[in-house]
Amino acid sequence: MSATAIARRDLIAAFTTPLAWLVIATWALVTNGLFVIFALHPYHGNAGADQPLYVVTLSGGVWVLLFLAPAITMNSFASERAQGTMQLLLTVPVRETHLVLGKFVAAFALLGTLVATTLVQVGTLAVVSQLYLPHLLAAYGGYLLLCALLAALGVWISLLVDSPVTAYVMTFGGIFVLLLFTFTEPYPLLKPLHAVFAVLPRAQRFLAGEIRLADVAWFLAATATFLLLSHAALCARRIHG
Amino acid sequence: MDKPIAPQRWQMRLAGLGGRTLAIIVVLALVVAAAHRGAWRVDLSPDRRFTLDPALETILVAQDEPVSVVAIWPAEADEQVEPLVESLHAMVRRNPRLSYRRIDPARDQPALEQFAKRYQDRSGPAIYLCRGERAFKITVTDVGLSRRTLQQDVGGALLTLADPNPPQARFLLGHGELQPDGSDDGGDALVRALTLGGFRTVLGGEQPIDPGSLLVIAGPTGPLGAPTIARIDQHLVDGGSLLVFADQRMPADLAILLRRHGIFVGPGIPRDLGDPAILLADNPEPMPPTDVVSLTRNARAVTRQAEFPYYNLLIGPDLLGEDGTLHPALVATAAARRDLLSPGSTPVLVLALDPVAQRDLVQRLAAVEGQDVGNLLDDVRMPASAAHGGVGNLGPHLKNAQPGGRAAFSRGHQRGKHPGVTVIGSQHLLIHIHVNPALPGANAAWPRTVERQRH
Repeated sequence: MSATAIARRDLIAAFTTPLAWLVIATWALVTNGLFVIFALHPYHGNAGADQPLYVVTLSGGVWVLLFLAPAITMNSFASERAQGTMQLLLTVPVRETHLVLGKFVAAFALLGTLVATTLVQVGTLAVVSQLYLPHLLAAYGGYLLLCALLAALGVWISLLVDSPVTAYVMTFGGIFVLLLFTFTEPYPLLKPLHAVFAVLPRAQRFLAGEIRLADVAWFLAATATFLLLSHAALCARRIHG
Repeated sequence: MDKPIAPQRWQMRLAGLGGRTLAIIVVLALVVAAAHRGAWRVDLSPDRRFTLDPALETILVAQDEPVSVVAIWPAEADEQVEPLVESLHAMVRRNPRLSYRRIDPARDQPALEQFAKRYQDRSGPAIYLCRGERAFKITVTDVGLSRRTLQQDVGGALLTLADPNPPQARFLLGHGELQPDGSDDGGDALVRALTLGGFRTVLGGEQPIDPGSLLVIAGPTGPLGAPTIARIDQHLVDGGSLLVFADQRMPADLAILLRRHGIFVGPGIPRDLGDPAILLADNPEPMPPTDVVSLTRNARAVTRQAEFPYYNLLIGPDLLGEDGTLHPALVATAAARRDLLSPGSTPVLVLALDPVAQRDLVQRLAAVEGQDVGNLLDDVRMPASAAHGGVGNLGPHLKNAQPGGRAAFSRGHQRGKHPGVTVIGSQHLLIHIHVNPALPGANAAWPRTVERQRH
């Protein structure tokens, strides 16, 4: 069984249950609501606006994504364990790497689906306004890197706990800790933590149209780290039983 | 004797797994650190806000004397203004003669006192560019001094500071104007603001007014008299610039003069704005003083920042229209390829418009006008480009300026040439802006007044 097969299996499972649809509906409701309020409202583009309209709702959407991402990733491994299929999964002839990658790709694809729904807003703005494609690509690139990080974090935590609910809470806690580091810059003792772990400023830079190699490397390295930890945890489970 | 217990095989495998994982994570951390040191970046923003404009780079590199960039704001605000700090650092890196430091008003009191003693100003949040004994102030407002406008301001400030003969701001006195003599009426603040805006201020005097100078009439309450009016008129006809602070107390002779130049203010506001003849009439029936047409959506932020106590002059919105649409007067002005604010003839004016409002105006005009709007506002000249309207890059007044040469403002307006608007000063000065609606192509249906209040 390859990573692709595992990802396909998880995606099919996700879309045959109400949860994924519920999350997508919530996401669409909130982000489109933000879009109408902040972008299509008559007072849009006021003098204080420093970002193009097509980035306004994406900026707000980052926060929503941080809350919804755990709901997507919590089922990765925790649901296998809750349903009693984890042992079965561990016995199938598939490498741990493929298993982790398959779960990750499925979670990433689901989060990517959320992001893809915002393209409707871009299409709307393309009709009534102007788009600057390179900036838009930078913004969505940042979004996808954030999705990859959240998916990897969620998969790892889902592997460590027994139930999806616990996985949701723990993943949310992990994201919350990453968020906390965003606000530690004014405190000299905690400033280094901000420099190393703060996720939001990095995401916001993409949304502003600035792509830094350091930010790209940070997102990719953080994603890889959580995938490595997932791989190690899975291997340890197989080794130790 | 007991034999030592050999670690079990699974323990060895777990240790190896942990070691490998840790090693890879360390390598990843090193890669991120290396990427961070490399500082490689791509600027994909529409206005290239993360990239220093080549024109500004030229100006920065050409600085032949030490210039210190001094930011005055609390240390806690560093994060809030991070984009500005980052941009300033990028600028300073271009030339070793440039340096940057931040003064925290609460924690660096001695440094602040020293700065205030030298440059006669200490208000923040602001960025001061200091060269020798001269300083140029760029006010940081809460509506956002963006990376882009900061570049424009810094470029203009450096040109102004390097100008050995800065433009003159000549104060007209003796008619009830504010007194720059230490009294508390705001006159001193105005002088200081103009000085920190790159001007050399001259108080009073009967000598002829240099056409390249800015004449300042700050809140007159008594008649100026025919000879003075004639001098002002000649100054304007010669292409000079005029900064007027006025309200209903302003004398009728000045109001009539301004009306002849297409600016309606105070008692000069006629009842029938649609009749072009009123531009020449000496005494048309006046409109009630509460009827004004004014610009500047952002007066709110400016008034909060203002050091100038003449707040009642800061008439706020809204030529841009409450519903987000452009006021027809501006549309008509743009369509007629006329000067934006002074459609009459000479560049009388009157303002320091918030740069964000300017940018907003440009964006809105762009929606009406298409691609050429930037050129329309490139006619705007100013010493520090505080109100510069260029959307994508620095305007020609900076692009064509010679480092160390005279500031763009001093080019002045040439008689008989295309009328231009001179925008002067920094964001904390503001005044009425009245648009002459008697424009070619104007829509008769547009509202004669858009604002019915006087603060």
